[in-house]
Amino acid sequence: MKIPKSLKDLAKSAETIVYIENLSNKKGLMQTLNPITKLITIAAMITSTLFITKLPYLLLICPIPLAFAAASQITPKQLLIRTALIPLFMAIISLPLLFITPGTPLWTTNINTLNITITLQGANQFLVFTLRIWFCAATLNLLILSTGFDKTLKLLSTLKVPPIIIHLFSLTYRYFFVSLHEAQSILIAKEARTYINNHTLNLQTLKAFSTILATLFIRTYERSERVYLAMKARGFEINQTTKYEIPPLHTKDLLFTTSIIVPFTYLALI
Amino acid sequence: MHLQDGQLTLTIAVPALIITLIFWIIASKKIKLTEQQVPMMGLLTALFFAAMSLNIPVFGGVTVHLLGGAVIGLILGPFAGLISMSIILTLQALLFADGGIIVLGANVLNMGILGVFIPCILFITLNKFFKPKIGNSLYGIIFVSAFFGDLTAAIAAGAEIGISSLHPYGLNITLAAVIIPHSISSTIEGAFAVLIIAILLKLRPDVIEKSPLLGKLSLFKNKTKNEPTKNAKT
Repeated sequence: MKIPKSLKDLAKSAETIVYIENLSNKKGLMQTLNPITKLITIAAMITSTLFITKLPYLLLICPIPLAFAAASQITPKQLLIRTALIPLFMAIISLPLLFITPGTPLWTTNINTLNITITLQGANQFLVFTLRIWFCAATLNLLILSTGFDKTLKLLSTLKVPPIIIHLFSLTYRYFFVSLHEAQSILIAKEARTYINNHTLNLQTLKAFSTILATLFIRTYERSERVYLAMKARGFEINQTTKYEIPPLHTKDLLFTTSIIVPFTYLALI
Repeated sequence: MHLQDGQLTLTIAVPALIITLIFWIIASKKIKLTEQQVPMMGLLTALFFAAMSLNIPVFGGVTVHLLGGAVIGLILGPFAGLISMSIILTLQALLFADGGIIVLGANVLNMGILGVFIPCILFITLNKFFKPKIGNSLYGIIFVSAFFGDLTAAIAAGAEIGISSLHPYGLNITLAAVIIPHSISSTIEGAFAVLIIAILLKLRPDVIEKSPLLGKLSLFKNKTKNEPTKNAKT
């Protein structure tokens, strides 16, 4: 039986989270840093990149996420695979820039009577846009791959996010797997009972998926009542705050942040 | 529709974050969750989060997925819907890098505020005007609300990209680029919203009755008005 794409996607979502948790538990450079330090540094790196317009500077900073990944026991290949799709999509979007930007001709060809010219300025604009997007995606992924969900909750707690929102984040994350599992079970049951494997959108497909979602909604609603009773039995109170302790800042954290922020600010300003 | 870091300048990302923060503060004050509602909202948010991972085949290899703003807003109400969508968008950014962190405010503004509030406002307005009962008029209102909610979110994303100096194309191109494909995906989103709510109304009307928006439908009002009369007779 051909596994439908929807089932593969659900499995992939769960797989991604397990993959992140595994990498975030390794003892590399990024994993041992304070989560706040990491967030500030990554945000500063991304923000500075928005001001960098010169291609040589972008080419200069692009190896940095790969080097940090390597130092964090994340292979550059793993980071490249995770970040390939977004810049690829952006590259397709910005491809016409090569031909429509006026400037010095870099390469010219004639197809029938159509004259196609790639300009130097067009190539520069295309590369700057695509590389910037890749750099931002790579640094964000570095943060994700080196920070498990537990540390993310600690981070939110330190950022003074209300406890009720942290409760909601925590519940959403835990029950995301339950929802995925339930959706998978229903989809498998549907596939097993469906004689015609129709993979195009029509009213029947829409109805089938809507029924699945509505069924999941009802099951979730009913489960929430049981979860509430179980939580209450374990002493849950709405105003109860869970203390997530963030490790103190070390010299290593300060050195890391300074060594990144200073050169990146300089690059953004020149 | 998720904007990535590097697409928007700070002159767009920062005001969007400020607007989002204002809405977050209002929403946190407006929704007074009871103890029982916390797990319910957490679990429903998890469900919508999982539902967004569910890709539905359109044709060939092309798939669409539910944006969910309209369904979430109509079932949970606009403020709870905003909180729910914000959690989903934050988790999508922090787990799957689906959307950036600098542009998180812009993504929440588009999909969490516009994508939730527009369907809710449209639904309230049209419901007041038409007072529909179960049937085509009710489903028509839900469809229109969900369609325009999704389209507005896409237009907002297109407009933000268009005015950003980091993006290579101008507003006329980016708007056209989002409006044309999103007219189709918004139609699918509208159809989904109608079908999900119709099924829920059929299977568990009591759940829908508790919804802050859908519970205001005339069919529930009539039911509550009639109930004491029935009881009085018996």
